[in-house]
Formats: sequence, C-alpha cells, structure tokens
Amino acid sequence: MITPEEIEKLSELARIKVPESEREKLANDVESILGYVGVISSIVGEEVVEAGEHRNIMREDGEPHKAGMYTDRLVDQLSKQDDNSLVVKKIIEQ
Amino acid sequence: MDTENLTIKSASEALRNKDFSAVELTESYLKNIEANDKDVRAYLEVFDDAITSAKEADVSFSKGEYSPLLGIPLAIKDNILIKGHIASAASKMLENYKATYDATVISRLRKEGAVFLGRVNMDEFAMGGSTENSAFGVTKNPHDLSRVSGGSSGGSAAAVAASLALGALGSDTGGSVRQPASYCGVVGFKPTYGTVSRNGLIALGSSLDQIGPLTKTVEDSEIIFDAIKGADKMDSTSLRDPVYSPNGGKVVGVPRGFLRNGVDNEVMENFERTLRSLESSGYTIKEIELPNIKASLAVYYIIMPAEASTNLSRFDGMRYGLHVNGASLIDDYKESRGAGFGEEVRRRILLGTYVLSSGYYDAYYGKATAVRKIITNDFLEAFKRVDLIATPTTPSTAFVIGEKADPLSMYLEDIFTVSSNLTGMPSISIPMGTVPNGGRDLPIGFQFIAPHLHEKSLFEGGKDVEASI
Repeated sequence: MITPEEIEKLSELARIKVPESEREKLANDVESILGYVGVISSIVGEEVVEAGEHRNIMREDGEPHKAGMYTDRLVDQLSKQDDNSLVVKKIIEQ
Repeated sequence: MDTENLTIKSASEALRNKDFSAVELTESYLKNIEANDKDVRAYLEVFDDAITSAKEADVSFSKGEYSPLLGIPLAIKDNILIKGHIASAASKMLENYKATYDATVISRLRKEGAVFLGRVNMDEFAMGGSTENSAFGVTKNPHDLSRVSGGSSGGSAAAVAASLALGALGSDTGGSVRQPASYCGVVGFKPTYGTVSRNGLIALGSSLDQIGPLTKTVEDSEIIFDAIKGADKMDSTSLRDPVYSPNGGKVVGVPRGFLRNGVDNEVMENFERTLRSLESSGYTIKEIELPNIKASLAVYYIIMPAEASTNLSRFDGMRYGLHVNGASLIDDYKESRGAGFGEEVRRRILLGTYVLSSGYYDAYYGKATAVRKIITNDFLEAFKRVDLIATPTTPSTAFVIGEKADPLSMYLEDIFTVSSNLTGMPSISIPMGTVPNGGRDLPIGFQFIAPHLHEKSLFEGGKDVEASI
C-alpha cells in the first residue's frame, strides 16, 4: 500500500515539490500501476545474465575544441550568471 | 499543388523535373499550415527560416545536385534539437530552451537538403499516448477533431495526415511513432535499436528510445531512414558496423492467443482481412506463441520510468530550463522541478524513483530486466519459424479527447508496440483501412515486427500491405 507519506518521501528523493493536495491521488495512481506491473513476479524462465550486443564504447581523449567556442551559447542558458559562471545559493553556513 | 496526394517520392521527382520549385513546395505547405493548423494544432512553432532553406535547395537543383530529400519540407518532433531553435519537449521546463547544437539526425537531413518547416507537438517529454500531456495543448486527429492524434509523436502524425508536412520525425520509446501513425492513418516506423543516432534527442528511456519517420508511404519511410541511419561517435549505443539482412521471406507469424482479448472486433476484422489478402499475394500465415509477451507492458512500465527518472534528473533549474527561486539551493531544485514538470512526468519520475529504491530494486527493476531478456528470447525463438510477426498496431482506433483519464487505461494502448522497444527489434505500422466509430471512418494500423536489422523485410512486407488495401 502506497501512502501519501511515501509519496512525500519519494518526492524528496526525486527533488520534486509535490503539493500536499496531490499526494493522495498520486499515491492511488502509483499503487494501481505497481499492482499492474507486479505480474512480472509470476514470470519464470531462464534468467541468463549476459553481456548485450550494445557495449559502452570508449574513446581516447583528444580533439579538444577551441577554448570558449561554445561558452556564450551555454552561458546564455544559465538561470543566473556572473562573469561566465553559474550563480547558485550558498550551501555552507558560517 | 495537390499536396494531399503528394509523397516525398513524387514531390522529389516533380522537383527534379522542374514541375515546381522547392520554394513553391514549401510555400504550399506553409499555406496548408496557415489554413488548417488552427484546427489540428500540430505545430508548436513554424520556423521563419524554412523558406531560406527552400531557396538554398533551389540553388542546389540549379547546380544539378540531387538527393531524394533535397527541398522536401519536414516537421520535427519537439524533442529533437535543431541549433538555434527552441526544443521544449512540450514542457514548461524547456519552454525557452534554445538548442545549442543540431541532433545527428538533423545534421544528416540538413546535408541532404531537407527543409524544416517547424517543431511539432508531443506529450511532455514523450510521456503519453495522446499529446494530452503536452504543456501547450492537445493536437487533434485530422480525421475527427474531437479525437486525439495519438502520441507521443502526435504532432508528427497529424502533420503528415493533414498534409501540413511531407514527412516528419518522431521518437518511439514504447510505440510513440507507431501508435499515432495508426490513429492518424500514416506510416510509422521504429528502426532497430542502435541504427539511428540518439545524439540530440531529449532522452526518455535510453535503452528503448529510437528516432523514426512518419510518412504517407512505406517508400517515403525508407527514404528518410536511409538518410538518418548510420554509426555516430556521439552515441555510443549506435551500431558501429550494422549488417542489414536482405529481404527475409514471406512467412508471417500471428500471436493469436495474445490477440484474443482486448482488441476491438472491427479492428480484428480489418486485421484478418489484411492477412487473407497477404495470403492471396503469396504470404504464408502461421500461428505462433509468444509465451511471455503478456508481461511486456508491465516490464516496460518499470524500465521506462526507471530510466526516465534518471534521465530527467538533469533538469535542476540551474544550467538550463525553468528556474524557480526557493529558500535554499535544494528548494530551488524542488520548486523548479515541481513547477516545470507536468502531472504525468511527475508521476513517472516518482514511479521510477520507487522501483529503483533500495528494498524494491530487485523485485521491480532487477526482475524486469530479467523478464525483458526472456521476452526477447521468445521473439528470437519465434523468428526461427517465421520471417515477420504481425499484430494490429493498436487495440482500437483513436479515442475521444479526455476519455482516458486513468493513467493505466492510457498505458494499455501500448500493449502491441512496447515489445519491440524491449527487444530492440524494428517494427512498422501501415494503414490497413478504416473502422467506423462515432459516425466517422477512423484509420487503424497493421504492425509488422522483424528481427534485428531486417528492415528490408519490413519495408517489402509493408509495401505489400499497402498494395492489399
């Protein structure tokens, strides 16, 4: 049973503000979806874990782009910037 | 210009024969958009540089250059980045986000000289099957404006169906290209996982996502696929050296046991009629078993939210996207994400967070990963006996806007499409006629599934379905 308190905990973990008024409905939704997806526990079969066809492909460092080439475009998207730096709130109290 | 009957193939021939210019072609579509898109609402933005691209295409033609997509006007789903243009994924979160680079598929289409008419609507972050989850309004079905266009690539499907573009790109995570194609009466193709680069596609479920075309014909679908496919060093899951199989034959497997429940009678009748017609043109129809396919939707609704919750953690309101000021840095995150994400996105992120949390991981995510492999093996086993597998694309025709208020009932529309995303196999939806519903004739799709890299079989089979209608 998913409770509104669990929704609150999940929203903390996921860092999403969920108004208290929505928690009850979300709890019901998540509960019913989990009920549906729970059928997988009844599937039995050969559970062979093997490396897939798709592998992570690594490359050597190299081919650096020219310094500053993308800076303006990226800085343009920052929520708050100062001298090409992202400004965020202080997290350490003195 | 008769845009209703124009295809990419026929328009390209007309351009080459100088029957009309690329500028005239693009202008015709811009006119269609102006006249009809206020009803359909497929586009979120029409680009003012479309005519400039069309002019460039005319210059290329005048120099004797040619490509099957040169001067062809296309619509692009709003989760595919086009440098300098907004890519919002139909979310408040990215309402003002300007793409800083071209997705690989875009740079490939650009190289071919395609014209981008604009960006089209979708469910927010591709989460949904109707575009009702778009933060910017729902796209209507051109065949009946009271019904949904499907989703998540609903804008792409509606744009092609209403002749507001000659073709479109969508993305398919669980059926998001094929389902709206089925609802809108166009062809929708999801390629083999890894054949088309995901670089520059705003990610939903990275092990499931694949970009695919929506077009009027199978031939057009093939033309776009040929332009966008290929290895890409910017996507490490793109296949380095894929070897495509030649056309594999005409034995079609039908999982009748799986289709027995939940499919509308009229849809099933159309499906059976199409099978009979394929039979009379030389196909063999065989009944097959896919013992665990019933679990595919459940597996999907564990893996997809898990991957989505991870992928969407990048939206923190700091580096890009919506920023809402809170009391502290952590409140900035929570407020920004709370305000930026819509209801369905929040629901899936929380669900994904749940199935990945310690204590539940093994029972849900771990088990789903194992069952995914079992389902894939079922398909591989079936493909030892048959060349293609056929199902209706969707259990029913497009539903009325607002009809599916319960999230689970919406998820069930993906029942026949999700397995191809779990297995990575290619599939295509081809219109198989119409079904009467609510006083209208509504289109419905026929789905072919093929083994990995057997796209040729899909295209050949798809053309035979087209011929049978």
